[in-house]
Amino acid sequence: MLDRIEFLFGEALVALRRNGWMSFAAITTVAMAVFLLAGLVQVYAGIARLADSAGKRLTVRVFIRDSVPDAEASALGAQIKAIPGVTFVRFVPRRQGLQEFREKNPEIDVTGLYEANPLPNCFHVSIADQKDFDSVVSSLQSMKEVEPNGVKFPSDVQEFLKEVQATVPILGLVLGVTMLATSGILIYNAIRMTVVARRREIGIMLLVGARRTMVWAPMVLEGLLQGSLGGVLAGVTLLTGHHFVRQVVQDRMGSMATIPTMSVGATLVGLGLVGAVYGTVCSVIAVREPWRQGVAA
Amino acid sequence: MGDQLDRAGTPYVQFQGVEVTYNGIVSALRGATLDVRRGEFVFLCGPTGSGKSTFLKALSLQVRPSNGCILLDGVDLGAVEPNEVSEIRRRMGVVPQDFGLLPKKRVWENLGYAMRACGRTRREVRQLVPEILERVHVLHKADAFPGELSGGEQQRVAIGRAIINNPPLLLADEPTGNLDPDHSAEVMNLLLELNLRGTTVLVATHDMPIVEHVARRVVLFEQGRIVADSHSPRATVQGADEGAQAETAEAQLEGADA
Ligand SMILES: Nc1ncnc2c1ncn2[C@@H]1O[C@H](COP(=O)(O)OP(=O)(O)O)[C@@H](O)[C@H]1O
Ligand SMILES: [Mg+2]
Repeated sequence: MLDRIEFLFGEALVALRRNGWMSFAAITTVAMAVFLLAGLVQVYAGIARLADSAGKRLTVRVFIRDSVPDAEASALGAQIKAIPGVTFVRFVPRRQGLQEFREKNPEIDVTGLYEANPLPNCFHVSIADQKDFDSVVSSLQSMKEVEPNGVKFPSDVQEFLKEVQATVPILGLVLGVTMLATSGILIYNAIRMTVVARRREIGIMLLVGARRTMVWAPMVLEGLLQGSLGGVLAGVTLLTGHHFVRQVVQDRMGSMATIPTMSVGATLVGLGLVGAVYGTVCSVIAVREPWRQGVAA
Repeated sequence: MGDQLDRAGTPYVQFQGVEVTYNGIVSALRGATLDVRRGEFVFLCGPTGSGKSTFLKALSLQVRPSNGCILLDGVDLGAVEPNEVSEIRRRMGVVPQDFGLLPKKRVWENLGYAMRACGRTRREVRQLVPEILERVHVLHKADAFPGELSGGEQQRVAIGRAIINNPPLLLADEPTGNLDPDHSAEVMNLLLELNLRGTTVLVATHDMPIVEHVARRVVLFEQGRIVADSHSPRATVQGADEGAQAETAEAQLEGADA
């Protein structure tokens, strides 16, 4: 029995080594597919986390209804300051708002607007702790002086991240499906090549009296090994990429971005297993093919 | 010794009106009927495309007859279950026309694989493979890959692999097909030696000088039918003098060298 197992494993390892380019193609294809899928999940989770944390740390703008007189509006500052979680409040009267707008957009002529200023009175409200964010926003929104939907997140970074967050699922889906299809085609071709290359070999093996299991077991083992090697390769690439991105993000955005570290062991074992299942399924299809075609009658 | 086995009763190999069609169109065998007794040495002769290879393939279960019946040692091969095919094949050594060596395995591994596939242990492989390679004179190439060998060497490896499990039946398709006369004679001697030890040997060939020289039973194929059967030893020796034959071979060899 042990002799048998040793024989099957030996066959698989020798075939893996001797098949050179075929092995290389299969391993890299599996690695690519696994890397894309796992990487996509990582990137999406990362961006979602980033957008979430960054957004909740930024200043919120609160627009006051036009029906509220200016004096009354400025007095609301104390009330807002009293909301738990609010650390800083700045009142921006409509006139100052227009001034700021003019400074930011000098090419737009706004002189006529000083007469009938269309901007509402506004508060810039800072929230220190993320966990207070949602409750502060809803408290602000529930104030009767605040315009309906009058609580805005004005930050450029926030806006950008929101955009990214909106496009990533679509982009990710399109990219993921495309890559999945591509890697599917690659694997299909690799397997087909294996089948064609092996058809004669299988015929010969059966001709010298080998049982079917004897012939297909090493091949399935070979596929399993290729798949798990590909998965581990994807894991190494992913960990390296993750480490790099994490460093860059942290250099650029400092404490604002919190990307957690990945567990090296769990990543390698997990992706290796994913690859192994993938490789096994593919090689089972590959070794079944010749029999269905009746080559080995 | 051969005569004793001849008298043993029922034929070892029986073809009864065997028809084989490829792709439903090409008729390769059109009713082949033949009895071969245990221990016989039979040449299957005939022009290219006459059905010799198909005859051997039908016997080794590589193609299935559309009509007729093949019996091996009294067992109807048409009734063999797919999972019994390997059992049947372990009782025959097949030397395919294209050698059928595994290109990615070394010479000794080609033999070793055949043994391991048939359930032999690693120890047996280690012991027997060098012996067999020695017998077919390719021991010095044991570590080479088939692609690194000459046609004659590949042929000998294929024969070595066919006899590794000591089969009672040996099927060889054009074993001298692309060999020079010297090597042809060597391969033929190997097959005759096996036959002397009791192996039933069927050889498909159109190498008539060899057939005449060896002088065994000759079955003639033509367009998928068996049209002649010498049946008795030496019936087809048409003045083939052994000395003359050897001289011709030497002359051809010298010609090739020049
Ligand atoms: N795999 C195949 N597919 C279709 N036709 C074949 C195949 N093998 C052999 N044939 C045809 O069957 C006939 C007999 O071939 P074969 O048995 O190889 O003859 P021989 O070995 O005497 O040269 C020929 O006409 C050949 O073209
Ligand atoms: Mg032929």
